[in-house]
Amino acid sequence: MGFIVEVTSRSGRVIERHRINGSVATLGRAFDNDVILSDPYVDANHAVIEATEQGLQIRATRTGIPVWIGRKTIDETPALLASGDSVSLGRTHLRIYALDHPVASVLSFDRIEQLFSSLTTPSRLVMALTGFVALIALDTWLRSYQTMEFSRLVQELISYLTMTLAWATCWAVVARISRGEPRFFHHWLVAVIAVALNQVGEFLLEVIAFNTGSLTTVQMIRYLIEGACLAFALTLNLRFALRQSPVARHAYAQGFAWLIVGYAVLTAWSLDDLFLLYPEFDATVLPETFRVAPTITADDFTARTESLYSFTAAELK
Amino acid sequence: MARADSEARSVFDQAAASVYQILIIEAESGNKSAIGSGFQLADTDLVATNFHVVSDALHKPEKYRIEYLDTTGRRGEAKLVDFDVVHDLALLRRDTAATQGLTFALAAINKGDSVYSLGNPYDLGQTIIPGTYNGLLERSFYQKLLFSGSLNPGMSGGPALNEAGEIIGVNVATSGNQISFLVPAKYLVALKQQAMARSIPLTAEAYQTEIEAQLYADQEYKYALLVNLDWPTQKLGEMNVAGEVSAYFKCWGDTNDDKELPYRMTESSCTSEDTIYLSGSLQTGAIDYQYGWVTSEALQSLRFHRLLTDSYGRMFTRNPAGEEDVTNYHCSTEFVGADAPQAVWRVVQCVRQYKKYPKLFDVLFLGVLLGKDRRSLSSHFAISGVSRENAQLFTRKFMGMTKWAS
Repeated sequence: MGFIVEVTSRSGRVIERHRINGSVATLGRAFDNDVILSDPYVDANHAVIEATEQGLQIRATRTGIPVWIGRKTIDETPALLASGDSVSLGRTHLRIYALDHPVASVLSFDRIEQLFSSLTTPSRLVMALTGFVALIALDTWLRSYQTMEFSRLVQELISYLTMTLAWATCWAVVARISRGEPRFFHHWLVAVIAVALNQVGEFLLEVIAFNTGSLTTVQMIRYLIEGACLAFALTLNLRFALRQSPVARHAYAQGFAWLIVGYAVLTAWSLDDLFLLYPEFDATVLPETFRVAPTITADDFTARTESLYSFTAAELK
Repeated sequence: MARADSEARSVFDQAAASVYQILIIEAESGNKSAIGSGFQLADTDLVATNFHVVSDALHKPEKYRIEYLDTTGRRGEAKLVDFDVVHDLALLRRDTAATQGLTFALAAINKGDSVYSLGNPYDLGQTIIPGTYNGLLERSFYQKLLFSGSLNPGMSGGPALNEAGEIIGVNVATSGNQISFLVPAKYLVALKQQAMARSIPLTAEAYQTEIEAQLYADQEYKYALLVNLDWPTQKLGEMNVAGEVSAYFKCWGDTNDDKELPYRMTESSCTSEDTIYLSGSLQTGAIDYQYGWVTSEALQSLRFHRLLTDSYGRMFTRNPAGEEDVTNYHCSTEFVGADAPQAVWRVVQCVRQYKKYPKLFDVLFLGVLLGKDRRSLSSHFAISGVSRENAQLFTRKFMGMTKWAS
């Protein structure tokens, strides 16, 4: 015997929980009720909930003071409730549970959760933000050879911050709805790490571009790096926002990230035969210390470039 | 002045009947899609004009046909007989025999002599333009006569005559402001002989093969000349580079003097003015080469190389070509040892082939010198309509020209 009466907000957030040990509970504004409600639209003695052989039942104490179950109103005739049903009296929202109503399994507080909890303290967040701004500033500086323009740096910073904040906000909303805790800074930190990894990846790409000069290779590796960064961010965002099995989480994150990459690769591939007025090569130049590719002689060069003059019949069509 | 006026009148009276308007008629609409001029050669049934006037009809005979219109208003069809694509000349045959015709001048023409150019500018009707002969255009692979008179669109292919009304050249191009160019009559004489000597007449099927043969022969001649020349060198920054390879090239230079900029860039750029018109979408024959010397003390090494990336990636070939004319480029990137201590070239070479003239290619070369801290030279050339062998010879010659000077 016994049941739980939850007083919730309109959106379903729990305000009070009452455990009723007997089989009957009265609800109303009067102080002789088991559950005392301070809503002016609720009658002094408004409703009665009873645990019976058939299950939980609710009824109004008299006509004219309706009790709402979903969109239906009832009066003195008792109505059956399922465990977890929502009920409204006046402007008060209630949820009624049987004592044996199942609860969700425990969330794991593993190393990643611990790591992010320790990283999202105010001082560490400030450090992360500073590091992020410094990285973007360095990147912007290295990419320009004119006198550094302050406005351009500010523009870059604003765009990166807006992007990561918007990303974090979306996930926080999802998390708030799904698990009741937004954990905004967790999501923001994930976005910042992903963007930073991508920036480091871009530099690696420049080294590859410098050494190979092949736009296609560079573009394909760029897709790989971007896909990996997106998959990384999605896995963690899903972990912090939704309740899922690790298998489902990885399937969603990897699946979505590589689907986008696959689409981009297919688009690039379908544009491959497009006629171009200009040659496609990568002009990236880095200091000589970044050279990995071997040096050849001018004779070797002309020998190797012989193959450039061979065109297939399809190309000549 | 009065004498010149009466002379112009007498040349006009004598020659006008031999000058035609050449019309390119689009088959479906039956309307003209292009116009030019042409003239009857005496004692033959041949009409001379420019290649570029009739090129549409040559490339797409099913879509365009050639017609002529004489001063009496008679209009008839003309057939393409022969052409010289390099000198922009073509010979047509009219459908009925002609009674008139112009003869070639035998006497040499001298600077300052009066020249009369006839044609039909802007479809306005037969016009005579008096002007002066100002010598041979010397800085060009292909001789042209400099005519100080105003040629206008529509006059292409018309005759340029001396005071006796004899052919000295063919109207071909203008740079505006009374600077116009004529194809010397000797090339037309040669073309006439070539047409007469053909045992089998040139047919539409053979046009493209003929163009390829002419272009191939022309580039063989040009590149043999270029590759065997001793190229003069000039100093650019701390490197020696090729100067004006021959009088056929014009070189220009520039240095950025903006004190605000954290780097200095000196550029030298040479071009040959000779291009060959093949169709509205394809020109060929150009040879360009450029050097850029960049230094900086203010820029950190990575930023200096970013500057190189941007300035060096912008270069490409000048000649226009469409999808039906050329393939996409093939490119390759290599690091080649440089003729400078501790330095290496990053070289990109790109090649595309002509679809209708598979012996010919457009070739692009980009080299940037690395390993000299914040001093670098970029070298670039773009050559078009060249055979593989000549492109490779030119590349080797070009690569051997850049040497560390100090």
